[in-house]
Amino acid sequence: MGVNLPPTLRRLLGIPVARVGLALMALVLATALLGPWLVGRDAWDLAGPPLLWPGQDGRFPLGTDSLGRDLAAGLAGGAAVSLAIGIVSALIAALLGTLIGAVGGYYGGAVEHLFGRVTDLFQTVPPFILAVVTVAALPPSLTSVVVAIGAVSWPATARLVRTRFLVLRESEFVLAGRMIGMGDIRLITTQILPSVLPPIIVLTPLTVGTAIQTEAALGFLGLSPPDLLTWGKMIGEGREQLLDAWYICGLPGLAIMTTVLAFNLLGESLNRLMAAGAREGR
Amino acid sequence: MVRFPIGDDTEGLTRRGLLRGAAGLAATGLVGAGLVGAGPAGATATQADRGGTLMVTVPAEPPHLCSAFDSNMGPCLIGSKVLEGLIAFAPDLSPIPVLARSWDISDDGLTYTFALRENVLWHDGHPFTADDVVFSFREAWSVLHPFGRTAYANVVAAEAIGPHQVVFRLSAPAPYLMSYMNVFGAQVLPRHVYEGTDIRRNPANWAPVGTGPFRFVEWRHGSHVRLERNAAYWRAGLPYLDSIVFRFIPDPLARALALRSGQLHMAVSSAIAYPNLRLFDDPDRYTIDGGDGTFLFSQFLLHFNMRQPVLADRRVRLAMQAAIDRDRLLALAFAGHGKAADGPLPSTLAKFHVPATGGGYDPALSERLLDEAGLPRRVDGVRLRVALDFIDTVNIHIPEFLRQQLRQVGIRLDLRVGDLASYLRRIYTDETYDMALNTAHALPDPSLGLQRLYWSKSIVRGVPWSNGARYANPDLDRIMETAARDGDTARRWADIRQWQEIARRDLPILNLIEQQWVTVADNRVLRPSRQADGLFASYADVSLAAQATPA
Repeated sequence: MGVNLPPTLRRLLGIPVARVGLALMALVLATALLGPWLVGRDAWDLAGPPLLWPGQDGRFPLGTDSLGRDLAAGLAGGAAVSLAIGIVSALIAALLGTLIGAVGGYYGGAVEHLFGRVTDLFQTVPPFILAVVTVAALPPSLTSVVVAIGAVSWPATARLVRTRFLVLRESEFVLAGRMIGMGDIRLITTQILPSVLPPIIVLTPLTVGTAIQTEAALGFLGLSPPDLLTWGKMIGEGREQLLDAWYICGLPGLAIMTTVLAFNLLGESLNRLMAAGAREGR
Repeated sequence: MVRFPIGDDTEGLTRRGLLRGAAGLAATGLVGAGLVGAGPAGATATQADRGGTLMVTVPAEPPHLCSAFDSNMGPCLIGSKVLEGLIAFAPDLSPIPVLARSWDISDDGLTYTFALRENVLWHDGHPFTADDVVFSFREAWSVLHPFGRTAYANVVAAEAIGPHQVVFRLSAPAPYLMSYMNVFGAQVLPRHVYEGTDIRRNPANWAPVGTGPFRFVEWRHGSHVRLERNAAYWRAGLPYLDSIVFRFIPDPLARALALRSGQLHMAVSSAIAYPNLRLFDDPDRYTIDGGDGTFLFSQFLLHFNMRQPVLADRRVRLAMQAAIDRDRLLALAFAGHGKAADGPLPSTLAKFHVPATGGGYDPALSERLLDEAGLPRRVDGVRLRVALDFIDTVNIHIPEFLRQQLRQVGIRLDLRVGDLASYLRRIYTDETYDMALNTAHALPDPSLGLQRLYWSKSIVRGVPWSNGARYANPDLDRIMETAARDGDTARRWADIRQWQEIARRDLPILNLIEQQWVTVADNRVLRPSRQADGLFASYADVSLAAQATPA
């Protein structure tokens, strides 16, 4: 390999599944960044004749919906929205989950009990229902959707982090750190967290995938903000035409599938990488 | 030919007006069966077509089945098969006798006498009498019904002057009164079931006892309502059907699929979404009919909050009218069913309607008006930012269409969707809105359906479907009040013409679409007689062609 890639990335590219995932992700990213510029048309515009099939009219390569809106513009605009919501809410979930898991796991006792029960509470309520309620309660905006999805996605991370902390807090290097007078915060952040990070990194792309799906489902139900065109909303609004113009739902459906698949493949590959690393004793 | 049992029992009332009623009936030719329409829907049931279960779907599960105190369509779509009104309406809106077998209106328009049908039994065996009608008027229609207070404003007394005769005495003529005496506006309740109870909470609202062709059997919430044949129905030999099942299917596409697959025979009240109507474009198998809701004269409209300073400027409202292409809205969001509206009265209300001379789609005019109103485009191209409220059952394509159209002229529309309760609270109680979408029934007479939308006295905080625009014009008030109590037809019609002129000039309400309530029926369903209030027809003479019961 002529190019001098960082070793981790080179190892990642050695996994075939990862290559597929990264290629799909590049496709989605390109759509999000270049798509709107290439299409050059507002996705909401009543731009042409209604219900054009893909390929029927050169001006609308992917067709139009029942109001005559350009589906290509919708798909391009929706890519950025889906990625933004997915990534930001997954980061919120990762932060929140790590914080709650780390504090609960490190301190144990009453704190762990309290945080554990809160986590249980969130896990017993179906996350999607919780997201629906949260979005409905907040004023409709992009932030509300991100907050709602982030707020229901953290428990898995919290559980993972807490379990690792419960084990590690009794380990020799932590005890040694405590002996030399390290404080709690320093112990958590500089000693324990670095060794908990790999599983969090594996989990986060998977959370992104789930978050994108949750966002799509909210959009499908008409719960995303009315000014925001998302793939889920395109499916929801095109649903009535499912029998005679399936492409209105089918194209954004395909887009969601591709994006979620990309993140899942990446998460899966990272997992393999970490597992291989662990076997090699790294 | 005349199967309707009317000609044989007219004893008691022999006055001129009575004959007028009966003659009108014969003229409509609707008394018998099979006179209106052609093809399968016009066919008459034969002996072989008796029996069977008609499977019908409606847009939504209603909260209850009683219309005597509720002006929403939902309860009446089902309740009208169980309970009845005094009259119904032929396609030309002339009255057809139902529980009233004839009627007489005095020459001064101040006394309405109804001769009621004898030998009619409630489903629990009690005889139906004039007391039931008087009770329904006094305790429900005139006090609990949202529009009854207007419709019956001039009625000072209702009395039984015999076991089967009722008199309504009026303080002033009410030329529109007969237009509301059907099962939707004046549903007759059984006094023995409702007397001494809180009518709105009476259990019979969920398990009605009526005089109609079908008895209530069961209501499985979330699933269906089942009605069965009333063997003791007063129209001898009817109904033809053994039972009717109203299925509740929340998803519009699922309703369309159920009708296509034969699990349903019929979908009423636009239960099939407009874009899906194309799936039933096969006259050999299905009948698509927009005539069943004629009586409602419904208009899809946008009303402005006249208390918002910027919208109080007439030029801004006219600019919105000029910015919206109603023909395109009709084609895109209503699949062409209905008509682009041109004013407060639907054009189908032909005897009152005056065609508009302007007010069409003209974006350039719109921009000019906005400039004149002192709303220039800012750097971002936006002149004005306003919110549009609508209920979550409104097809989202409609507000999205309006948003794009107004954007062209520099008006930014924020869409605010809400459930019915929060929508009503925001519009009629909190008054924290700019513009709102709504469907209003004009009904066959503007005094009944439209006055409440324009009358300053119906600006009542907290009362749904009142004057939501908060529009007040003393001149129009006076014209409407005169029209509501004028017995002179020519003078009244002149008033109503002027009413339209003022409403078009002031434009507190922007009428968008004359809405149609579409019925889609499998051709195996035989519906020999048609009514203007066909949504609320009793289905006594509806039948299924032999072997039509779905698997």
